[in-house]
Formats: sequence, structure tokens, C-alpha cells
Amino acid sequence: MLFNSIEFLIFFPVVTLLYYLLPHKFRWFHLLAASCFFYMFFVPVYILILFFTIIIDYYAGIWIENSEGAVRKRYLMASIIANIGILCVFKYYNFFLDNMVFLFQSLNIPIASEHIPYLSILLPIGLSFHTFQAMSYTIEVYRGNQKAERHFGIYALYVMFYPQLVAGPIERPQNVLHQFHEEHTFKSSNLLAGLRLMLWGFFKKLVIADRIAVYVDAIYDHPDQFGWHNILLAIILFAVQIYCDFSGYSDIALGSAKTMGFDLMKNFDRPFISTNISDFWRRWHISLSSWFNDYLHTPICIAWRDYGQYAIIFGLLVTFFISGLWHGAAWTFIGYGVVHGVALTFEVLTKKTRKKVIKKFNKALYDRLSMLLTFTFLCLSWVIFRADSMSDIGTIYHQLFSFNTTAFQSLVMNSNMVEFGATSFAIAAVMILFMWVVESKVSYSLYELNDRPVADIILSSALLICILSLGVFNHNSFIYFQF
Amino acid sequence: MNYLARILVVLFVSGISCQGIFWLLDSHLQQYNVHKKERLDEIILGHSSFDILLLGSSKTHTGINPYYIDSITGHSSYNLGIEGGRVNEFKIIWDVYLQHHPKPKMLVLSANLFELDLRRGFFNHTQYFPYLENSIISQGLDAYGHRTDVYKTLPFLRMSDYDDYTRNNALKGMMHQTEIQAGDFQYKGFLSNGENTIREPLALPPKEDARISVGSVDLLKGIIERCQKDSIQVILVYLPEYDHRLQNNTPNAAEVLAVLKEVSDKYKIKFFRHDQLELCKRPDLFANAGHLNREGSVVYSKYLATVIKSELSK
Repeated sequence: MLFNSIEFLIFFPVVTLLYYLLPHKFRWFHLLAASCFFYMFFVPVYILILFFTIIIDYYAGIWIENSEGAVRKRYLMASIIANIGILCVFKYYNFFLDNMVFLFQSLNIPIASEHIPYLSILLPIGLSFHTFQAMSYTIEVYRGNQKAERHFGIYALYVMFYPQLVAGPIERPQNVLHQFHEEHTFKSSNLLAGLRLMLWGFFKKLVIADRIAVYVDAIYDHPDQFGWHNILLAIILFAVQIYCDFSGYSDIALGSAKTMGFDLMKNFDRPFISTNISDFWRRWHISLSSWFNDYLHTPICIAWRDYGQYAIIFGLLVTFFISGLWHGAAWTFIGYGVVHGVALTFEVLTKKTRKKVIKKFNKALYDRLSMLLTFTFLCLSWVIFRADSMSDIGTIYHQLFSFNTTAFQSLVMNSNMVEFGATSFAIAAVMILFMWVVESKVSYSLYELNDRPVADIILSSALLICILSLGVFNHNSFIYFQF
Repeated sequence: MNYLARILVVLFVSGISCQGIFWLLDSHLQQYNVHKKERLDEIILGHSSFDILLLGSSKTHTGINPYYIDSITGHSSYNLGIEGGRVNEFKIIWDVYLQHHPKPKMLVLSANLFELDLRRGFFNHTQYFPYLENSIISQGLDAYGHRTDVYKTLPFLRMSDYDDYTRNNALKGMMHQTEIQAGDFQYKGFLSNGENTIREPLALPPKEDARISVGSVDLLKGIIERCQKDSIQVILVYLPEYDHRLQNNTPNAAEVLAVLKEVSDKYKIKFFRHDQLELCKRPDLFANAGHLNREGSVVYSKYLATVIKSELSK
């Protein structure tokens, strides 16, 4: 079920109301059933895949806790292999075959395409998020930071909780599991804060992201048919689109959980004010970057600590290669990860030099230039992320840096290729400015507005009015649903 | 203030504000859509009698002037062409028209490349919002995910179905502009299409197949069957296009044309291929590859009138 659908408009209040009406002992079942219903709106049978991993990880957690020494590690490895194995089959199997075919063809080894055993199935929605959240549980139990959950239903709910089921935040058991055991009494302050955050998410998704998507999609679909200035605008707008789309989703997830008294971890923290790429990854998709830091990068650095800086660099490159692969089974995503890994390596290697430069510069000016440079890098790297193929990446960069002008000269246009006229552009520009101002003035969670009734009424009413009068209600899926 | 009371205040303030914004936008949209309103009033609410109906997309709407049809055939005609219309919208317009109007003698039904592609629903659904009380209109919109029951109860929610094109038109209405451009005119459902002519090289969208959506052929058949049941003569017409540019840009054009021919054969109705007329080689008669300009519509309407006259006399 999409958050931006009529079905969710009915689902959300019914589930929230029933949650508070039911006695505490039945609530886990209610939320689990609701989450299954939410997930089964996509492809119902795929829920069996999730439950397969749930059963494995549930027992793995208990067995890890009950055993000692090398056996613990074996249980952990079995759980990780099962999770990664399922992800590989559903997400990477066809990609692997494609690359094998390409390799054979490059070596002039004949291969009949009809004999290649491709899987003709869709990737179960949110499988990468689900897998990582499940793995964080068994790893934390193994590390002794989390007690194994004995209640099967509560454990299932930990990985199935509908607000963050399909696109995160990728939670840690220490943060969430105990909340399912606690009895949440109705607090109107939670309801108010949650609804406000949901409004904010819907505003970013429906008013900004889905409006901009019209322009971005048209350009990325046929990059060879547009001039460099169209490409440049599309590249910048995609940065805004992906932020509003993904952080909008996270806000709706956090908000809907908050209405029932659950606190999920924040996933974004104004990423466009980052002054370098390390800073960016502390502000962007925080739950994923911290997952990679906790479970991959840091362990690599510790294991190879004797190699000093080389261990950090190796860890970064491996982590970001896998991070790219996590996003999708395509060389474009891997390329996106590698580019960020290389950029972070550059930052590690130039850390001392940059510190010296900062001392000679005006700090404020240096920060602003850094922000601009970081944003430019992000925009250019998102070309690799967004482009449909490696050849499209080449086309886009070529069109951009050769200052190529083609038949389409107008920056914004209403044509049979792009329906994004001056009105769309003006609305998008004003709304982006509005978002920037609000996020600058009010803390990320917007919770503090509970204590400022006038500001709250003005902001919430403005958001609702903007959504209803300027929203793009074409039920566009969220970008990160594909992962 | 109590938190729950605050939520109610937000809902109340937003609801009132949205209703105000809706009234403002809607009234100016009506002012801008002066032509659409006049013709939809006639089609949906009117009772006038016409002998010849011209049903199709924007190619019909801006390409066939009833003035020439009337004067050459001696019969009264009306243009039912709908901007961006597809066969699903044709069916609704035709059913709505027959609700209140006397049966005509003939239907000139447009049969072009892209009219069987139903993927996008209605091109300009908001033009029907003032007519939601009509059950055919509301059911037609509901079939494409528009919540007409909700819109009747809470009119301001219609704004959630606006796109920026509609919002832009409402803004133009506020500036006292209308959809009838300077120098253009409307006549019995027809809207003239300016004086632009084709200049080479002609910009076309990327090559793409014309989709034949599931059920689209049945809708076309449904229109013809209803006509035959009511003894209304039907002819299918592929309207002029410049130098076959759209067909050349559509890899499966031959397949679509074969389907249309098959339908005409099945119901024993004539299918006129007016893309093969001499006038289709004249860039001065076209505004773009698919649409005649003002001068082109005069030349073509006169020709079509002779065809209609000949068919009516059989």
C-alpha cells in the first residue's frame, strides 16, 4: 500500500484508532495483522518470503543467546547467509546471469539466450530494508547488545512494522523492540506531533517531489534530445526530488508511528547543508549509513587496524561498493557507490591539507564554498544513480559538459515531451524555498511546535492547504520502494 | 489550547481556506474555458437537433468546421471533437449526447492512430467537473479513479485532481484571458487553430508504438453498434496528417490501421483514409504534424462536406 493512496487514508486512522481501543495484550497482533495487510497490497505471496526469514532469524536469535563460543558464530553466519541468500536470489540472480552472458559473449563463447535460466519474478518490495533490519537483530544479539526476543509475534512485528516496512528507517532492535512491549496510552501530544510530521512528509512528496518528477523523468528518459541547460536543471531538480521523495516517506513513517506512541530513528538531517561527503552521509539516509558503519566499515577497520589509514580506505571502498549494490542490481548503482567511496577516500587522504587550508580562509566563506562543492558533487553523482543505463550516463555528461543545445531550447516547457510550464516551475520554486525556510527554522522532527500553538496552526494549515490545492495526486510510487 | 482542539482548528481553517481557493480557481477556470463550457453545455445539457455529428479528438475539434459542412450538405452539423480524446471519451460523449438530443442522421467518427490507447484516462478531466450530476459523466470519471462522490460532497477536493495545466488556465482566467486565442473563433463546437504553419525540420516525439489498449476496440464497436441500432449512418475517417509523419514515427501504425479497417469491414461501414489526400503534402495547411491550421480546416472541411453529402444521398 502506498502512503499517498486513498487506501492509506482509510487504513491509517482505522489502524491507529483500533490500536488504542484494544487492550495492550492484543495490540501486537493487531499491528502485525495490519502490517501484513499493508504489505500484501503489493504482491500478497511475497509475504511468505518475509516470514521465511522471520522464522530463521527468530530461532537464530534464541540459539545464539543460548550457545557459547564458536557455535554462536555458526548460528549467526547461518542467519546471515540465509538473509543474504534470499536477497541474492531475488535481487541479484538475474543481474549475475546478465553479466555472465556478457562475459561469455566478450570471450566469443557462444551462449544460447533461451537456455539461460532467468527468474521471471519481481523483486519483493522493500526486501533490502527488511533484510538489513533482520540482520541487525541477529548481529546485536550475537554482540550481546540485545536480548533475544522470545515472543515470536513481537519479533515478527519488529521487522514487519508497517510504517517502516518497505523503505525504512532501518531500525535497530535496541531502539524499537522494547517499545512493542510497552503499553502506550493515548497522548494527544503524540497524535498532534505525528500528524504534523506526516503532513510535512506528504507536502514534500506530493507538492514538490511528484511535481518535479514530471520534468526530471522526461529529461532522463530521452537525454539525447535536450540541451545542456535542460540537463543541468534536471540534475539539480533530481537532487531535490530524491530528497523530498525519500525524506517525505521517512517523515510519514516516523509520523504514523508517533501517532501510536512509537519513536523511530530519524533518517535525514538537512543533507544539503553538508560541507563534505562524510558530513553528507551523517545526514542522508542515516539509518542505512549508520548500519554500514556499525556492521561493515568499523569491523573492517578494526580487523585491519594494523594497516592504519589503508584499513580505513579499504573499508570505505568495500562499504560503498556494497552500499551501491544494496541500492540496486545494476552497474549504475554500483558506480554511484564507488564514486562516493572514492570521494570519501579523497577526503581521508586530504584531511590534514584541508585543515591547513581552513586556517587561511574565512571560516564562513570556506563553509559556504564547501557546501556548494559538495552539492555539485552530489548532483553529478546522482546522475549515475538516476540514469537508466551506463550509456545514458555518458550521454548526460556529454550533453552537459559540451554545452550541447538541441531542438529544445526553452528551460521550462509545455510540449509533447515535457509538461512542465512556467506555472509548475514557479510552484516548485516557491515550495522548495518554503521547505528550506521551515527546515532551517524548525528542528527536524517539528515536535517542538507542540508548544507553539499559533505557529503550529499556521504551519499545519498552510501545509494542508498546499497539499490539497497544489498536490500532484497521481499515486507515484516512492523512489526507494524499488530497493 | 487542547491538542485535539488544535487539530480541529487546523482542519476547519484548512477546509474553509481550500473552499475559498476552490471557488476562486473554479470560477476563473470557467471564464477561461469559455469555449469548452459552451460546447459541453450543449452536449450534456442541450436539446438542439443536429443531422450530422463529428466525433473525435482535437484533430476533429480544430480540423472540421461545421459552417462548411452545413452550407455544402444543407444539413445542420455539430463538432463533438474532444481535446486529447480517446475512444473511451468518445463513447461517453456520444452516450451523453444521445441522452437529451434527437437522433442525428449521420455520425462522422474519427479513427486515428492514438485513439485506441486508453492508458492515460481522460486528457482534460476537469472540464467535466461542472457536470458531475450527470450519471454517465460521473461513472465515466469514476472508472478512471476520480472520486466524483467525494467531489460532490466536498467540492474543494476537486482541486486534488487539478494538474498544473488546469491551475495555469485558472490563472489566465484571472487575467481575463480565454482559451480562444486572438484571431481565432468558435462555431458549433469547432475551434479554429491559429495560423501557424509547419517548418522543417519538424520536431516529433521519440518513435513509439501506438498502444491498442484492452477494451478499446470494443468501445469503438459499441459506438458503431449503438448507431446501427438507432439507424444512424456511420462513417469512419482517418483525418489528414502532414506527409504521413505521425505514421512514419509510429512503428506499428500499419497494425492499428488494420484493426480500424477490420472494424469497418465487420460493420460494413466506410473507412475513409484522408491522410492520403493531396492537401496532406502542403505544410501551409498544418499547424503541426497531426493538426490542420485555420486555413487547412477550411480546405478540408469543404472536402469532407462533399464526402458526407455523397454518403448521405446513398
